[in-house]
Amino acid sequence: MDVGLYRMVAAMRNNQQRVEIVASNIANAETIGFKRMLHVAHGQRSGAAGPGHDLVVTGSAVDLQQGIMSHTGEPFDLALDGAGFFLVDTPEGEVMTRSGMFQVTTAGVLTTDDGFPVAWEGTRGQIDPQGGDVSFAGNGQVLQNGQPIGKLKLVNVENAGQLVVDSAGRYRLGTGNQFTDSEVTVNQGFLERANVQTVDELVEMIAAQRSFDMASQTFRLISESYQRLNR
Amino acid sequence: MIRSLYTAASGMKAQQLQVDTIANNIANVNTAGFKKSQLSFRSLLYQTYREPGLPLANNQSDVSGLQIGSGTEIAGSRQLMGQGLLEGTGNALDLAIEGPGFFQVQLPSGELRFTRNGAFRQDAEGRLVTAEGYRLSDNVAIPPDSLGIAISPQGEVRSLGDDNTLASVGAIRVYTFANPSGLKAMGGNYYSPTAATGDAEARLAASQGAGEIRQHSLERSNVETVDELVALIVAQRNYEVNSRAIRVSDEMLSQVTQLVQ
Repeated sequence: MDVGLYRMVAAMRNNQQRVEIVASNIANAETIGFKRMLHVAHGQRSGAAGPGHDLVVTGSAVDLQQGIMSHTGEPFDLALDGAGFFLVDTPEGEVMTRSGMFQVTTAGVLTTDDGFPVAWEGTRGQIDPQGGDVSFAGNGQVLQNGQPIGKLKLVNVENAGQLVVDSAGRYRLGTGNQFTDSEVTVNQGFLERANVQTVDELVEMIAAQRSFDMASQTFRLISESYQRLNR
Repeated sequence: MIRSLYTAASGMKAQQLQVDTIANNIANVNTAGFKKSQLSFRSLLYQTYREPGLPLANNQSDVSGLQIGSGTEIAGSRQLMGQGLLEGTGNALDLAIEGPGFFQVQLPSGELRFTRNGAFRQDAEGRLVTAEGYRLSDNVAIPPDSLGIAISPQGEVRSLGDDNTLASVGAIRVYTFANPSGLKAMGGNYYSPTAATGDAEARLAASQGAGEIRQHSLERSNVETVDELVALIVAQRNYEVNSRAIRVSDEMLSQVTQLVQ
């Protein structure tokens, strides 16, 4: 009898989550290497025959579209061009990131800006912090004074839709996902900006607000019709 | 309460700090040896409602999962150590470093500070001092009867004496750090080393990766006004969009409260 009421509540909740995702994208419009989250909603039959989709399931997915490169000229600012990630060693294991704002510790370890070591192919390369020019080739090869000292580990994932975002905005492999080889290009002296387009986000936010409106109007309509019935 | 209110507020706070930083950069566009600073943002905790790829109740697997971020925060700031333009001044004691490195000066308290601002002058004892009167820690003393000063790119200071000969009166070293972006700005265009920078290494100028010393010039700040203005516009627009997100969230909440009659 009152299925409609609950559906409208579900629709409102759905659109609220949509606004929450958009708000997070907007807030991170200046976060280096940030990838916007997409809101996905798909209907699901709950089993018994019924009109249309019985359940709306909301979900999120990472939109891995390339962000704009901005030039900084700093030697340890690296931007990735194409599909792929840097790997970072954290206490929770290896995680992926697109943010290449790196630094070199006094011990010669290349780390992220919050201090976690960047993963290399094979043994970790040692950069002499006082030893002169360090250059990064497109394939991740690292040279100091023209001498190769190793190669950064660059990976891609089989199923980009199933990445799990961790608390620091880095990515983990989800269930059943695995690493693949990456063809990504490293650009030294650049940072990749967030791939958030505020115009798109505003449109999405307005659309969510209007859908929310409609759901709440419909909710009211149904509830008023019950009031008339009861009278 | 709807999370996007707080999410958008975090974005507004971060943009506010961004504007503060840009304003400081613009204010120092004419400060010799000033290095612009840049904020870095990072995303805040993601709340995971469902992991992607997990099976749902009705034997289907959930392809997308649901994760919602909770906004942004400032991860930190760093000084961009890019070279500023060199400007000829004609003053014999105006020095600029072309390339990496800093001058080391000593405060009256004995503490050491590092600066790229090489506008030096002489004190009563012929020592090189900054505008604030802090002494250059390298032992350079200009004799009182000096007729002129010549400073080589390697930092060798020579004085022209009465007898028309150049005599060496000391050398200016350039101090480099493993990670100069980690320097702590102390105001007055001075930096102090931190655990992140490593110890200062005294280098002969123009060797071992240290920059060359250029006499008769000053290094202008590396702030590009145009870049800063663009960044300012972007920050302002981002601030607006964030505030818009707050308004939308608020309107949605008010609709919910109106549903209850």
